[in-house]
Amino acid sequence: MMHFLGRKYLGGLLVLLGLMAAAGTQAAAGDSFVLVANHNNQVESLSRKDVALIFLSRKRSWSSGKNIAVVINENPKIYSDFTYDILKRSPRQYLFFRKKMLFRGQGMPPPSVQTDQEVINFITAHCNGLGYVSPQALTPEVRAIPIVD
Amino acid sequence: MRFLRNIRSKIWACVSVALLSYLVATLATTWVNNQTKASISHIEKTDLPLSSNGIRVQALFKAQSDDYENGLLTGEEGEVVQANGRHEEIAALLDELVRLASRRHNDLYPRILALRDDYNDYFVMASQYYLEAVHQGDIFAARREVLQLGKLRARLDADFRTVVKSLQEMIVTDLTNNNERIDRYTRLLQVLFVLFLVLTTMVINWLANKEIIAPLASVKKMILDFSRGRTVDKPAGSPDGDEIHDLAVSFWQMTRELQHITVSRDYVDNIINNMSDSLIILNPDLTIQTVNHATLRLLRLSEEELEGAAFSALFSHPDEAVASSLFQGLLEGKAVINLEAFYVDADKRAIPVLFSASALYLPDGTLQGISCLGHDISELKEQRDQLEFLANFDKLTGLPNRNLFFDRLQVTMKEARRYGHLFALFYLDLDHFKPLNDKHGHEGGDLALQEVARRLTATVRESDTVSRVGGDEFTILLSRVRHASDAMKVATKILEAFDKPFFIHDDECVIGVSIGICLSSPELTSADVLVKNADTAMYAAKAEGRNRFIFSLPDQN
Repeated sequence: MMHFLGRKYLGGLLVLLGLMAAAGTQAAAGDSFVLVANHNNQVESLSRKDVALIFLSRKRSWSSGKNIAVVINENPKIYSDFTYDILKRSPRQYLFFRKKMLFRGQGMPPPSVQTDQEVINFITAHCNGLGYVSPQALTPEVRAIPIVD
Repeated sequence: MRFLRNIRSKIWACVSVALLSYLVATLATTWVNNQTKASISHIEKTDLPLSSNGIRVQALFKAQSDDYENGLLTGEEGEVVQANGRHEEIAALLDELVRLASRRHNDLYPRILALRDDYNDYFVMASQYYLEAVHQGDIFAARREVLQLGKLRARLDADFRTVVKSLQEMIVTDLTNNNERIDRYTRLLQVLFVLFLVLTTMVINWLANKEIIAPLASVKKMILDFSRGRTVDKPAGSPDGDEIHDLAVSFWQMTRELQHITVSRDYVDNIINNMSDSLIILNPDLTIQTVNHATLRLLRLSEEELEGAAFSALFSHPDEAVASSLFQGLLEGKAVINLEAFYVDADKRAIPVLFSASALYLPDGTLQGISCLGHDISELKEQRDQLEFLANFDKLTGLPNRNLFFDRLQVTMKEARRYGHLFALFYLDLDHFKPLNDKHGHEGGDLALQEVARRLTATVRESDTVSRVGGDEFTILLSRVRHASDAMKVATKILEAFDKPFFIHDDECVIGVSIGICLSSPELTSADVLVKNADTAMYAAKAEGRNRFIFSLPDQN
């Protein structure tokens, strides 16, 4: 029952996202966090919707077919911004989401780290990795992926 | 069949056949009902508990899963403990399900067995890992195990669903099967019923026909045969037969007794055909119905010629009035006894019969016909005529004798008195007849007398009477004369007739006659006197020289 409502809620959220993108009301994304990927990754940009789907484990592979290795940055400076901005939910809600997913066996939730550096290390280690860091922590070891509306 | 010895047992046999088929039908219905009941009972005792327990165990499993989830999401240990606490009930229900399913021989049992094993495996892990995860406070610490458990539970959940669905479908299937079976049994019962009805009807018909109707028909045939006059054979069958056989035997005995004590038709026919008198039975329309042999002999006609012919063509009576009123009287019930009449035979010859007849009536009073008895009296009548002839006529000459002469004289006298006319009486005596008689014997005399009679008869009218009143004495009664000359003419003619010679045995001889004539007169009222007068006159003629006539004069008296 909860599972079902959650999905419904998610659907509604996606529709809302689309509406906001069309209206061009998006605030200055990337101000508080930046999407980062391995240099070997050919992806140029990602839509906000795709990002949300990837971090909610709905989209699990790149267009090339490789599995996306997602890492969650729980750096308190940007974590809540990311969850609210991209996933439209609180960090706690996102945690519940991942716990349920795990409990119900729907899939392995992405691993989470506490610092930007850990993210950069993860991305460097995983060529199909995707994560986010604060803009200040951005290094040449990783590539920033712009979020297009 | 020895046990079907009387009608009661035969009827009971028929009833027993019907009752037996009723019993079979009842047994068949009972069997079908029991089958249906067993089927319904099975649904009630296995299918329904299976289904309800399935639903309960599924709900409990769901509740347990929710408890685990809540525990893990909130980190509350109590929820996990509560979830673990549900295991006992779930396990018990699954055991019950396994027990119930073992009764059924379908794929549900292995599935439920596998489900129970899967659940037990799952619970062993879940109770351990989830509690650990809650204790650690981080679900993600053992996320591989938790994920695996989640997948396992999802599969279990799906299994619970399909099993419960299958159980529910099983009930529907069983109910449908049961309905189909009931329909099948109903059809079977209908077919059986029709079959038994036909069979029972045939058996009862056969039994009734063989044991009751056929024996009765043979008795009926016996009665019919007997009524047609045939001899009835003794009924076949064992001596200890049933009532119908007894009836047949009794009837046969009765026919035997009747044959002894009653006169057979042949016997009556024999009597009728052998009686000497003619018996003719007439129909009410007076045609001949039947005749006996005596009639055929008497009339010399065949039975075919007589039967159906009108009796009037056969019957005659001198008095036509009597004949016509006779039959009317018979038809009205009057009997005729010993009437002298005639039957007409094949040659139209009248046969004198003594005729007796009377009407025949049926027991209900309607006229059946008339029986006519004819006794042939030809010989009797001949003898009687002979006697009559002898009494009134002369046997030799055939002329009236003295007796008849006087009779006719009386009649003539009465008529003469009545009508006032004259008549004449001649008294003749042959001359010298005795010598002739002596010469030619009595035979010759007789021949002469016959010739005399012929000549006398030839000379008078038919209405006149010539009589022989003595040996050679004759009288002639001229019934009507106008005058004495008429008598004289006749007397002259007589004398002339005697002039011719007589031939006796070719011997010519002459016979003379002396005639005394007495004419009637009102004063002469006595026949004797008349005869005496004529006789006297005749003697006078003899005295005067014979061969002449002399009138008796009135004054001579």
